[in-house]
Amino acid sequence: MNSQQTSNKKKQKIKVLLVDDETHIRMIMTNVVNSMNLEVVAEAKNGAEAIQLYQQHRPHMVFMDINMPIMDGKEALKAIMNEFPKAFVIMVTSLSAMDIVTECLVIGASSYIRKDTSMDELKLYVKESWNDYVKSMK
Amino acid sequence: MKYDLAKMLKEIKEDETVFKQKKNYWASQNDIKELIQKMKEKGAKK
Repeated sequence: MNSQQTSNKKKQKIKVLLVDDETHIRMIMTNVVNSMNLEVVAEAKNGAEAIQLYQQHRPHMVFMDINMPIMDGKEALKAIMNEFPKAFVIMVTSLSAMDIVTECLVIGASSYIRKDTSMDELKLYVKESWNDYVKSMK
Repeated sequence: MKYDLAKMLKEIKEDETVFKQKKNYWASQNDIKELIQKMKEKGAKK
């Protein structure tokens, strides 16, 4: 493989923004992302940072927590979907009250994953929703 | 003490149905998956 091909392959990596106020969750999610051969381009500790980093990096994929200080994930999701209607955002949270799940999906979240989901299932849900998203964009 | 298992299971199932009719019940990952699927079928979701 020559350097041009290597460079092209690097460019093809899906860019991910991680949003969670808890450092250890961001570390776990970074491991998940790396194991899926995706690339974390930025990490945010709250919704306000997430919006700013989304505008700056334009990631392909966002993993968004809900309960966070300053601005929660639901508000950040609204702001991102408002500005970037094609954004691919997956909520990854310990909250799973049905009204909140429904609200996030209606706002535009592509999927909603509980934090107590196993790593293998989490990866599976991410892959499934990403494939659906890519199909819907064609 | 004797238990009527069939009756108990019926009651549990009824409780679950009532519980799920409440909008703020705690959804399992399977419930969420079903909801996403239903929303896609109705075209309410990308």
